[in-house]
Amino acid sequence: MAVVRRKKSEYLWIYIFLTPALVSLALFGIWPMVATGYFSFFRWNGIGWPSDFVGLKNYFELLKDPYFWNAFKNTFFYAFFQTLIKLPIALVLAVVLSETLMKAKSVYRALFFLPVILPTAVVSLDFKLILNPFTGPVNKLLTDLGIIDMPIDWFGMNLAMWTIIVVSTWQVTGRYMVYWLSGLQTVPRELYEAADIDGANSFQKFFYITLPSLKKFTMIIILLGFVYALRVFDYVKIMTDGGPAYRTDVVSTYIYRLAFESQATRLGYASAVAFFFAMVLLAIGITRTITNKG
Amino acid sequence: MGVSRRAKTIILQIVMTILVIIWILPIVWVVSTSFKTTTEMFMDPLSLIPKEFTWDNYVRAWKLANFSRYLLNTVIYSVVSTTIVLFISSMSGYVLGRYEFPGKKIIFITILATILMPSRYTFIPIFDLIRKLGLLNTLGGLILVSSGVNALYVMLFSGYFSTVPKSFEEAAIIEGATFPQIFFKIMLPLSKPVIGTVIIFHFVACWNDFFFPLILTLGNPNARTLGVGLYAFYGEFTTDWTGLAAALVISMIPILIVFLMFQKYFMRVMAGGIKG
Repeated sequence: MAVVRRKKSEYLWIYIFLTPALVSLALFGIWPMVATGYFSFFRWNGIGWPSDFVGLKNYFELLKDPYFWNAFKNTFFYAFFQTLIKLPIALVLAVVLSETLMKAKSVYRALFFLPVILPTAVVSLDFKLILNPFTGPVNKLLTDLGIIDMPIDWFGMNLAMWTIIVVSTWQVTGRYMVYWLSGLQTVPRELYEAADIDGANSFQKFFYITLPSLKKFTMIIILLGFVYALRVFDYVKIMTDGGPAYRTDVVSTYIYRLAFESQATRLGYASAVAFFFAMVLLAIGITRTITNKG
Repeated sequence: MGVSRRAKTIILQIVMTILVIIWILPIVWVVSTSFKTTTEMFMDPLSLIPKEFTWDNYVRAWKLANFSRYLLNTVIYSVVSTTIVLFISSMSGYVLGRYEFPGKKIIFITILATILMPSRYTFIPIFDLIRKLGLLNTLGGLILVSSGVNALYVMLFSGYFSTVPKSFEEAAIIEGATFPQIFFKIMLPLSKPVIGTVIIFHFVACWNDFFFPLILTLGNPNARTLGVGLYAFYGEFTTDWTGLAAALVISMIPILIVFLMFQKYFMRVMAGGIKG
C-alpha cells in the first residue's frame, strides 16, 4: 500500500470513523470483563453502586459452594460428551456427503444443516413436545411397538442431561459437518487416486489418508467444539431449568439464578462465580489460539 | 466393477435418504402438529397428516399469545441491529485496513482480544448498565447490546478493504471527493461480498439469540422477542401443546425462508467461520 501524504482532516475522519466501534468496544467488550472482576469483591444486591467491600470473601465461598461445583462438573460433562458425539457424526456425514458415488449431495447437506439455523428456543420446546412422557410421539411409538410398558421420563433424574446433550447435538451437528467438509477439501486428491490404483477400499482410505491428513484440523475443531459447548445455557434453561434436583444445572444457569431468581439478589457473589468461570474459559480460549497458530 | 459401483450408489443413496428423513422429522412433526386439533394431538401424536386440518392454533398463538407482537419485535431487532453492526464494522474495518495512524495496533489487538471474551458469563455489568440507562425491558436496550463491535466482521472488512488498489480512490481525490464520500460512494459498494456475509451471520445470530433477549426483555411482554415469547408461552399455557406448536412454526418460518433463499451461500459463509 502506497504511503500517501496525510492531511490533518484525514486523521480527523479516521478517528470519527472509529468512534462508534471504540465506544461499543469500551462498553460491551472491555467494561463487562473489568466490572465483573470489580463487582466480585463486593457484597451487592444490585441497587446503586457496590460499596460493601468484602475482599476475597466471595471467592472463598465459591471454593466451598457445592452448587457451584455441581454446575461446574455438569457443564464439563455436557461439553465433553456433546463434543464426543457431535464431531464423529459430523465427520461421517461430511465424508459420505463428499463421496463421488453420491448423487444430489447438496440437497442432503442442506437438510442435515437445517437444524443449525433454527432458534435454540424453538428446538428446545419442539423436543419438550416430542419427548413429553404422556402426549409425545416418541413414547407413544415405543409403547405401540411394545418396546416399553411405562412411558419414559426423558427429563427425569437419570436421563435429563443425556436428553439435553442429544437434543443440542441434533441441532449443532450440521455446523460441524460444514467445518469438516471444508477440512476435507484440503486433503490432496492425488492421495486418493494413488490409493485407488493400489486397490484400497473406502475404510482404508478413510483411516490411512483422510484422518492422518486432518490431524491439525482435528485439533482445531475439537477445541472449537468444546469451547462452544461450554457456553451452554439456552437448552438447559428452557428444557429443565437445571432440574430435576440440580442434575442438569450448569454454570450459566447457576449464575442466572443467583443474579435474577434467588430470594436475596447477590450480584457480588454472582460476579465472582462469573469471573472465575470466565477465567477458566479464557485459559481454554488462549490454548485454542495457540494451537491454531502452532 | 461397474455393477458394484452402481449397487454401492443405490445403497448409499437409500441409507442416506432414510437418515435424512429421520433427521428432519422433528421439524416436520411440529409443522403437522400445529394443524391438528388438541384432541387429535392427544389421540394420535404419531400421524404426520392431520385428519381435521385446523388454523385455530395459529389464531390463538397470533392473537392471544401475542406472537404477532413478538414477530414484529424480532424483525425490528434483527434488522436494526444488523444495520448498525454493518456500519460500525465497515467503517472501522475500512480505516483499520487502509490507513496508518497512531494507536492503530492497540485498537486492532483489543478488538481481536474480544473474540476470547466469554461474554455469556460477564452479563451482570451489561444488565446493570442497560438498567441505569433506563433501557431495561425495551427493544432499544437489546439492540444496543447486540450491536457491539464484532471482531470477525471488522476483520472481514479490514481484510477486504486492504486488498482494494489505491488507484480506486485516487481519481476521486483528484476530483475533490471528501473522505466520507470516498467511503460511502466508492468503497462500501465495492465490499458487497463482505456485506452479504455480515448480514447473514448477524441476522441469524439476532433471530436465534435467546440469552440477552431473556435478561433484557422478559419483564415486558411488549418488548419480548420470539425466543423469549416462546419461553413465556411455555410457562403460562403449559398444556396448550398445539398452540405452542403453531408458535414454534411462526418462529421458524421467516428464518427458514431466508435459509432456503441463500442456502449455498449460507453454508459457504459458515464454513469460513472456522478460519476466523
